[in-house]
Amino acid sequence: MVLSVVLTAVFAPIVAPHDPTRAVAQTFGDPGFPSRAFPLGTDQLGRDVLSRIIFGARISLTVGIAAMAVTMTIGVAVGLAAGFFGGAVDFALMRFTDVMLTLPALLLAMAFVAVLRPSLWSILLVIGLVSWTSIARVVRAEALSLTQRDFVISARSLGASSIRLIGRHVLPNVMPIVVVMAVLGTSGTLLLDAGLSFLGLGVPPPTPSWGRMVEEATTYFRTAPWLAIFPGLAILYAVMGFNLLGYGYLRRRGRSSA
Amino acid sequence: MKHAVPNAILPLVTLAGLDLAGLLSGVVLTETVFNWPGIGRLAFEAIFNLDIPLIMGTVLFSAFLIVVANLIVDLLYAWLDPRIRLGDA
Repeated sequence: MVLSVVLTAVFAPIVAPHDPTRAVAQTFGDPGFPSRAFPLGTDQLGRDVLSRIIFGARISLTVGIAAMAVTMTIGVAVGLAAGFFGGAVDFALMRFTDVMLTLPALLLAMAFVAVLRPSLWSILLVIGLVSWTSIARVVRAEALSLTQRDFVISARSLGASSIRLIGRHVLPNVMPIVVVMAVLGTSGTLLLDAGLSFLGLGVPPPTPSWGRMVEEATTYFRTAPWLAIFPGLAILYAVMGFNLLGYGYLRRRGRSSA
Repeated sequence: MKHAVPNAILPLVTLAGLDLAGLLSGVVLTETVFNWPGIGRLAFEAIFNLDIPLIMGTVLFSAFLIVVANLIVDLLYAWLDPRIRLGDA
């Protein structure tokens, strides 16, 4: 499932039958029902829904994965520092993480985006800033247990510096679980991006984004339900794909979820 | 029932407390969609109008709710599981 979404996003200009930002049908002011020429219908400005969904896959996937990269960077750094150094650093970082956990993610993301003007970069940064706490917790637990293991203690007794210890011993052993949590977290960041776009705080128009498509479709829900159904299905498909990928990998490795 | 429920209830209660943050995020979306006048829609409109004090107020209020919910969860722990005592090291 994930592969189909990624391929669609990468090859979007070739796959999409029409230009998603320019009106191609004669249906200005009145959404067109799905027909032969436009398989998923057209929206109120005459743009083809199928093309918009395909190009929207690009945007949504970019935001989802790049935001996950930001999340990973912050979360792994915080978790490693807390788990490795322990003591006061651990305490301070964990209190900070707890503070971040009590603030609801979407609300905080909205507040951040309202301050920085909505653009692709600000969305990435904001979603990353909001979602790193769960990764940090898991990485901290792993780092704590790893730091007590023999090979780290022996490396430290041989005189290895802290940076070297973290980089060469702790980090590679933390990576498997980080990768799995990244895949699972991508579904979360995708949903967060859809939510932000729905509320109007996503990538600015006319760039198609699935959440924004759903929002624009709410006014036409009675007369043209396909405007909302197809982007919603696309979001469902992508999020479910990443979730299944993550859980399948977890189950294959035999470990219980973090 | 008497044996399974008391043992199983603890993680459930923990997750319920943790899920409240997610629910408060969702309430913004839901209230906006259904146009219900509530804290969620208030937060949304505050952010749209860039009403900074109101934004701070709503975020503070939701954080307060979550902290109170977690406190209740912790107190519930002590009541549900007699092995856990409040204030023990």
